[in-house]
Amino acid sequence: MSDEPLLSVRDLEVVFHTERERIHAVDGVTFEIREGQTVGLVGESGSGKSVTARSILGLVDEPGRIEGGEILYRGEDLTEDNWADHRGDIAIVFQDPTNSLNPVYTIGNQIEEALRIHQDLRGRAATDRAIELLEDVGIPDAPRRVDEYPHQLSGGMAQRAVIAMALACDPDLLVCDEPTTALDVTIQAQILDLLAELQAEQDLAILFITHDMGVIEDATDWVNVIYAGEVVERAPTEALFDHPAHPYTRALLESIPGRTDPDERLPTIEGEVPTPTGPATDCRFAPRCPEAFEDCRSVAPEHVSLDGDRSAACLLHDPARSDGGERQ
Amino acid sequence: MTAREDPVVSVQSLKTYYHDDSIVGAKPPVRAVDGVDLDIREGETVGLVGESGSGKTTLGRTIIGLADATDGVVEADGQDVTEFDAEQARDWQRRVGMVFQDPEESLNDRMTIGEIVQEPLKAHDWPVLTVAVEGDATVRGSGVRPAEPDETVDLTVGLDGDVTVRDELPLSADAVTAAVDRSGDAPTVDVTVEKSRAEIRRDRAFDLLDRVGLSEQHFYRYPHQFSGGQRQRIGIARALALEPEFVVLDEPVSALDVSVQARIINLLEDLQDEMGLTYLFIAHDLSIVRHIADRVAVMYLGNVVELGPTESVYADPHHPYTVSLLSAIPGSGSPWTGERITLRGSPPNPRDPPAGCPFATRCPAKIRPDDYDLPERTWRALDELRVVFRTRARAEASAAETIKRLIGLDVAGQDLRETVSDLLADHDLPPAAQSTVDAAVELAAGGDDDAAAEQLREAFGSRCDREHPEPYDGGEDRTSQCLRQEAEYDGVAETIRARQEDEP
Amino acid sequence: MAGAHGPSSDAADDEVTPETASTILPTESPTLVWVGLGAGLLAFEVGALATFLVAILSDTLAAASLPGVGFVEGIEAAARQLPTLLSRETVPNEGYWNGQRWVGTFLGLRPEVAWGIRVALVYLYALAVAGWAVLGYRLYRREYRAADWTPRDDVIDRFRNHGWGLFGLAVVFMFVVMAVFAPALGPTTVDKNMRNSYDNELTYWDAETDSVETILVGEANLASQSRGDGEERVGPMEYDDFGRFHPFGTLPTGRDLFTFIAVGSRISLVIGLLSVGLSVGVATSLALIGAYYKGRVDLGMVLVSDGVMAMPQLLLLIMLTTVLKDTWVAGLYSGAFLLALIFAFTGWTYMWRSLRGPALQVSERQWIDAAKSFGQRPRTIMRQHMLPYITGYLLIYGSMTLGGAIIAIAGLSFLGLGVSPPTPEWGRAVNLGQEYVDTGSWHISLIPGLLITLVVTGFNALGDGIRDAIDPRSDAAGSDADDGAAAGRGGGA
Repeated sequence: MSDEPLLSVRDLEVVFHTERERIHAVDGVTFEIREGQTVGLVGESGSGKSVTARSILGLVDEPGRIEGGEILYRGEDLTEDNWADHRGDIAIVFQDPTNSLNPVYTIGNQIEEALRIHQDLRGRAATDRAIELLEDVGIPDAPRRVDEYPHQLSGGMAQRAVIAMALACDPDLLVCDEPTTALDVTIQAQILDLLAELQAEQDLAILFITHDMGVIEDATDWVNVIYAGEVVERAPTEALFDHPAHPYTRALLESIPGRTDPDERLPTIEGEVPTPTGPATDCRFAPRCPEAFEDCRSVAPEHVSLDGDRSAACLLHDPARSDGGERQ
Repeated sequence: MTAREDPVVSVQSLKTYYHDDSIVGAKPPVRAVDGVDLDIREGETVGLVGESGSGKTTLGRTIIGLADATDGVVEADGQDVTEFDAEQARDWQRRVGMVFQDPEESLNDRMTIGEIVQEPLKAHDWPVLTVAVEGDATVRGSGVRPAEPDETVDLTVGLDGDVTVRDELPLSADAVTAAVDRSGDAPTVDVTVEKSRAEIRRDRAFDLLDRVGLSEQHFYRYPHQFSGGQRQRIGIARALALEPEFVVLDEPVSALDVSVQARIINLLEDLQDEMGLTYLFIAHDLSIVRHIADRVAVMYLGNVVELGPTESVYADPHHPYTVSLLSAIPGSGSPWTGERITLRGSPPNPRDPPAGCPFATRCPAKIRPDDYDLPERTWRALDELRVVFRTRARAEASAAETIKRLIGLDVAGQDLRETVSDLLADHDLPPAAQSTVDAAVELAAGGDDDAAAEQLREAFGSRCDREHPEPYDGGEDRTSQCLRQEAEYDGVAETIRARQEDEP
Repeated sequence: MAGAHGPSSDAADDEVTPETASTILPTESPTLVWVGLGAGLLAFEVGALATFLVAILSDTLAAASLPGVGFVEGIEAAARQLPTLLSRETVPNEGYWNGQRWVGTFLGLRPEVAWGIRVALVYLYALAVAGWAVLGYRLYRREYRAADWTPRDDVIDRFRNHGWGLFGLAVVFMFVVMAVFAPALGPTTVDKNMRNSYDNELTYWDAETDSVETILVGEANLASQSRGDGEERVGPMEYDDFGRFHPFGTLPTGRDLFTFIAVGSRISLVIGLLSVGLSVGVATSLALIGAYYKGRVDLGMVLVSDGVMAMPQLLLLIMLTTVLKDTWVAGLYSGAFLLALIFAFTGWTYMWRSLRGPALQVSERQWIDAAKSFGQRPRTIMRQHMLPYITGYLLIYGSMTLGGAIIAIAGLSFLGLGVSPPTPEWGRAVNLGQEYVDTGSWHISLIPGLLITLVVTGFNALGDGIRDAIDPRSDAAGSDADDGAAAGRGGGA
């Protein structure tokens, strides 16, 4: 692992322009991924995690626009329309495999197309490579499956095929946008195993986006918790689960059923994720935060460094504003 | 949450098959529910878990009467729900409720919340108030009828003209007058309700919205103005409108965020306590089921493979599928200690389930025959080979392949040999086994995949491949469908752990 | 939290701006006044109305060849005696120049002015009736309806803000008024100018002889034909040699185009609306039933509709018109009714095909299941949960078919089928003028052609407006930040 991060997102801002307002879907998100590392981005719907993923690939569509910050891939800023140069370096796997595959082409056709574009492979060579890729992602009887259509595959198999397609361009970074959400638990376990295996074999860096804390715990080395367009906490996975520093992270972990006594009521977070329509002037979690105090409603918290590289954007940890950090 | 021994619904050997509606070339039916026995007792929550395609939703729909049963009985109050005609089914549906998975989809967005919540009431012309008179009397009046025995009584009328209204009704006693006429043989009671039915319905809707944590102002809004969690509350209010005793919750929180999930689950638990409801909670998320369910039924390929009190099942699962499911819960939420069990492949096609145990194709604790002494990974490779043959046999051959085969261009055979050699590359098979495999491969290369699969099954199959296990009584109100419950075999968990240790 | 957003146009609005009865009608008994106004408006047209009703009665009796025709004819004659204030008799425009002044026209005004006044009065009257109806609705909403807010109020509010829909409503209103008041709108009548032109005389000022002369209308028509340029045409807003005013010019036969169009609007609209209405009705019911029950029911419908589609429409038309020529059905409304039936019979299949897809789609939605789960009846499910979602398609296809039907009828009269001359009908005017499109007599084809386009556009716009009005999601005013939130979540899970 070199010191230079593979991908570094700094102060990313993505704004959606609607008729009535500007929505800051991503509002100053900063994080890094190093080679061979798996970094998680976890948050609820509307938190801006998928928009972040799409920005890295340059896939933000109208009315959304990247309005600030930089996305550095090996030191080169992608936001200056450099995506085309790195098409093969970063690949994405979407949530619903059946939507990511074109139903009128065989799996083979689709992988071969990716191979033609990124590796200039054609004909028999491309077919052989496609079969190899399918075998790599654990599809049995690949020589036959390569000629099948997406509807002939089960959900898990289809997601494997999508991953094979993403690998066709031999990427350094794989962005997985809720890759297991549409799948059953046993299939989810297979896909998580597969990703871990691929990572070990090919030294892939993975950005793992999900709303499922359990998946994050299993699959990632580092976690960024995102809330209303902002990263509120970043930490090594184990540390985060042991001692969540931000009240939101804490509440999120507590509200997962199965971790608490079934006879007790589940702890909840009242209210809903707000839609950020302007620059932050306060802590966006304050209205729902059980530990909010006066300053939370008037100061936008900055990230405070905590022990072991981790940080949290919460005034509770700001020594100047509260008695600071006593919760760790 | 004490479960009494009195089933509200009793499902007995229920089968629900989906047939294609086409006139020509009918495929075998989808065996969505394939012989399920399940009692749902008054006041309890039964969690029904399984993967997609396991038939859990179909089971719920069959109980409600939304899907037609192919065979078997769903008994409620001594009647068979599957035999109901349209009117009886309507009457049954009046007494049960259903909450659907996707709050974006389950509310008609052209209707206001008020209309949505009132719709079940309107559909059943609610309320026709049931009247009980102290003593023997004839009841007259519009919108009322005498209460049948054992029925909930809405209005109780004394022979002095005193009226008591059931608490749950949005009706005050002042709005009801009862005139008692003693001139005939038996006294006649004339009941007049001052409040119109529409008004009672509207107030009932206000009540319901209040119960699920919404307010009166929401009555006039449209679904698209609400968030997912709020929409699910509306769906719950609608399901409870007719005061059902039994509610089927079909993945009610799967489409929601964790923090919203927790609130909906709390709401469901509160409502159960307040109204004495019985739930069938369908879910694929085992953590949620653990939290909410008193008993859990695990479904696989149309069968309930394990059934028992939730805590006991989670602490000591008897069926290998349950073990695998629990171990697959990501993160620290899993009660399984040790290495995660990753099941191979996907569930078989429910049009063509395996002849023996439905789980045999993926089972990590499958019983192996004594004929060969092979390491577990070799057994798995052989199993996988059989799955390959079966899949090939079921796959529709493309026109190009058919022509190639016809003119003798044996491309498939070529691929097949590659696949087989890949699969069995680093396994040492005894000569007898090897020759069986070779013979099967030749059969498959010749186009008869079915015979190849059959040959492998004959040679390497075990009891699990031949026998559909019956439910074994595991004590403590538990049953499971696994041959390993028989005394002669090792337990499921220990087998799995032992096999995991053998693996590199 | 979406629920925290300001109320959409719901009850709260009504309460904030209370419309008391006094602002609707400044009186203590608004209903009574409203009824009085209605009676007053009715008085203007009592004669026409009575004649119309009796005419329908006698038509039906005659068609069914029942006894009592004579008696009804007596009533009809009596009904004609009732005064109609907005009639051509009250405001006449047909007169002649006697050398010094106009004789026989309203107040001695020039015919074009007199005609203009009559048309203006008719439209004012129609507007007054419409206003009266709106007043009645508001009165009902204020005074009699139990609920102070229903979802329909939202529909109306949305429609009121829908410019394109309002345009459509205005166009459709103009045409309906034209059809209803056709006899009073034309500068002359069908009977006098077309059907019995040689039985009627006309007085005019002959410039050559400097005297008032009389001529048969038929002969006057021959001298007022539009068949080319210059002298051979009587264009829009021109007088012919006999002092007759032609707002839209004349036909190649010398007949008055405006009268032709005004009266023709009745037939065209009746056939168009009736045939489209019938086929929409059949197509919608079948689409809903097929989508609800699916499987074999749907398959059966596909077979039937394919069967109907396979029949050549034209041959069927020729066959049926011939076979049914002497039956009472063919007699109804100069054969227009029969035509509408045949068009509907052959037309529903195409519409059903277009509606089937959307209907099947909506039948898969979960709220249908939800409704089934509490025992809602199939008919209500189809009406309440499926119909609103295919109404949009239905309105679009319906309004597009309407234009096709009007043109098709024209084609049929060209073949000698359909509505027989001289009964006016739009398509025929287009046909008649085809030869002269590149001459000075362009107006013959162009004006009715434009009108057909306008009507179709109008119905289309109205359809669009209604479709948007019944969809709460198109409610721009009411959703505040909800749409915004949805957009923000666009990429979210």
